[in-house]
Amino acid sequence: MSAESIELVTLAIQNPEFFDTSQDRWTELPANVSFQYDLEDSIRTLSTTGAPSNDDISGLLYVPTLNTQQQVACLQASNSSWIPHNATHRADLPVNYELIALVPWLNKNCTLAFLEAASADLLAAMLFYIPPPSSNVSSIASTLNSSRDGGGNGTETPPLDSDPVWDLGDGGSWKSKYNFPVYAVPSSLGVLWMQQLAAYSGNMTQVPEGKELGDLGLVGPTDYVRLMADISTGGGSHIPSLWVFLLIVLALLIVIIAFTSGLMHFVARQRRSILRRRIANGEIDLEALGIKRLMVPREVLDEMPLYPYNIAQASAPATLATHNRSNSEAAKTTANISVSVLSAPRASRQQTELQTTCAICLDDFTESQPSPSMVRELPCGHIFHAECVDPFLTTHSSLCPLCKKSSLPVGYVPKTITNTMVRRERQVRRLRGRGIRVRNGGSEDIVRASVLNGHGREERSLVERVVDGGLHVPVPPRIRTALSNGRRVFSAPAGTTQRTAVGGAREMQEIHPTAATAESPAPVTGETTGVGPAAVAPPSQPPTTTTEEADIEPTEQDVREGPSAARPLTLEPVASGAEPSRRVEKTWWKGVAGRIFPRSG
Amino acid sequence: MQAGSGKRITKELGEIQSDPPEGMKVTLKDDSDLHTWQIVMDGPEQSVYAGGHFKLILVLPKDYPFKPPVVNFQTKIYHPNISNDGKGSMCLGMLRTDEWKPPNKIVAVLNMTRNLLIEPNPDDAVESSIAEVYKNDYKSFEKTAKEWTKKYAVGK
Ligand SMILES: [Zn+2]
Ligand SMILES: [Zn+2]
Repeated sequence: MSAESIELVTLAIQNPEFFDTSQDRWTELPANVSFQYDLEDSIRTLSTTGAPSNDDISGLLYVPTLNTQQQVACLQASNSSWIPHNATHRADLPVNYELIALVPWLNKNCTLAFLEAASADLLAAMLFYIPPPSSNVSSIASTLNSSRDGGGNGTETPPLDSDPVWDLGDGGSWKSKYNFPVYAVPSSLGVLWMQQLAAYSGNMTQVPEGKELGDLGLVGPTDYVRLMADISTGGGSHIPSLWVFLLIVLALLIVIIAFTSGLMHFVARQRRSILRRRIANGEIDLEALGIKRLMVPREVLDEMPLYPYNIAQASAPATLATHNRSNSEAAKTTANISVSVLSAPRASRQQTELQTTCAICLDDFTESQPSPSMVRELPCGHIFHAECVDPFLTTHSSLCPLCKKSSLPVGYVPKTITNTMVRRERQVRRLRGRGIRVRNGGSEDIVRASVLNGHGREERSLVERVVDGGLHVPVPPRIRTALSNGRRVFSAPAGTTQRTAVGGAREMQEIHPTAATAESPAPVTGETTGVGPAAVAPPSQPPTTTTEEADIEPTEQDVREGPSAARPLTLEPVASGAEPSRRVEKTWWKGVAGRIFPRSG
Repeated sequence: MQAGSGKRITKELGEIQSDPPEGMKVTLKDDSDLHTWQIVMDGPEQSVYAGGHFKLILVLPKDYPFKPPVVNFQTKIYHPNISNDGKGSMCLGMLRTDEWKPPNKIVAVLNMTRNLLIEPNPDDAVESSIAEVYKNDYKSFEKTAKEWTKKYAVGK
């Protein structure tokens, strides 16, 4: 294990010759009266052989003893006193203690000699240092000595363990040959420590501040006062580090999961609010797209015109009826006219008049006093018995039972937008996107469809318009035959858009193929534009007739000129009473939408 | 709404019984239950089912006409759009919940069913194997359909 820090302290050790040594008896001396040094980094690990995997290495610091011949060779060769004669040797230490050797890396032979000598000792580790080039040992030592409490800063890290300086000519095999770890410390520190080894080698009277130590009662007269090194290795927390590692991984996973889920929630919320905004802008009609079945809240329903049926007065006194209950003939006329003039995209007056049967219960509306049918008029202009359509709208669907146009105000946003709705809307959009490629033939009809689209959704995106248009493309006769047998034209999942135009046309033809042929070129368009809601078949017609059969196909001409054509009829009444109704007409939906469903931005 | 729906059903039943659609006999399965109709539909002359009499059960949901009726063939029939699982459920676009419109009448449903016998719609099949045969080997389809008609729908 590589060394992370080395701590040097001075110990007072009882002399086993005088005391029972069955247990270690030593005390660490305080820093103010002894040598201490903390080396935090600047350590090179040259060999980890024999290093304990999960513990610090500690031992008394000493210099291995060479035989005389070697000693002479090494110390003379280096021509200096790198190893003071009085440095702590093995003989200066009590027995049975772990040892850590401190050795200058003088040259190859000396190093080998030291390794060899040390291996004979009970060695825990070996510390090398490369002697500084300067021979002025004392000056280096004193410099360091004066700042020894500064920790291991300002010292140079020894060369990397791969550096040729550590080469002993055996390809590095020395590292594994000796069964103790080898570390290198900075040169100047080595010099300093060696100097201290010399200082703390003698008896009480010779060690620095020996008298004081004795006076303090910290050290007995026969005690050893020696340096001890404690090498803290990274492996000191080997097993715990596995746990730490697992914990870190776990924590990381938790963080990642939390982050991901947070992100997903955020994205989902963003998408919901985008969808909400698009709905509020009228770009999307949730129910018409089959994304979500919506109900009409009571408040919205109450805003829809409710009035007694009255065919004699050709009446559909739509919008005013709820606001103006006057019985006077004039007022009613005004109301009628204002409806027909101002609500061009809605039912043309003629068609409203023709609705004589409630498509839900199939009963005729009655106008006979004293209890005429109370009819509810939906925004598309279709009327039903209130008692029939109200439960339908509040509990089943917001789409008109006849034309499947939404009866909710444009921009109506349901209270909760769910992720499911977001998903389905995306799905629908994808399907429609594909639809463009499939049905891109009828550009003319596309344009017409969007012009005729009377639901006030002019702000729809181009794509939606085009695709909507695609649905209105007249179906060629051959395909129609197929349709008439109940084929689902596009195999989209249930609840996509195809229901509208194609479905209507199909049903009509299935029941009365001739009727469909008669209406030929664009039988579908009228059904879906919403300009001309179905006129109800006269009661005298055979029972097999469906309401759609009598659909009147409005042309673009009709739509444009409808209102103005009606104007001559209404000149006078408009002058007298159109203003209030105009206001009502304009604000009706917006008012409801704004009041009940304030847009959340 | 219960009463209203009953009224409409009675009305439709009356209309159908007084002027029944071609080749059909319509009765209530049980006189006390307006919501379960029993129909005997003759195989259309121009179809491979000619000569057969097919029993259908038409169930009107409680909230009819807001919800579509459910039609099942009681008589086994070899048809791409009618399931061959003993339930005899039929796939008809207009009967799908999201395509159903309250103004649609039962007579229309029945006429459509009849049309489906005349011209099956293999592209929207319940029984894909039958649809395959119908598309690729009409002769064989015709043969089996006639056999089945004879076996299950004649004289019963
Ligand atoms: Zn009604
Ligand atoms: Zn409508």
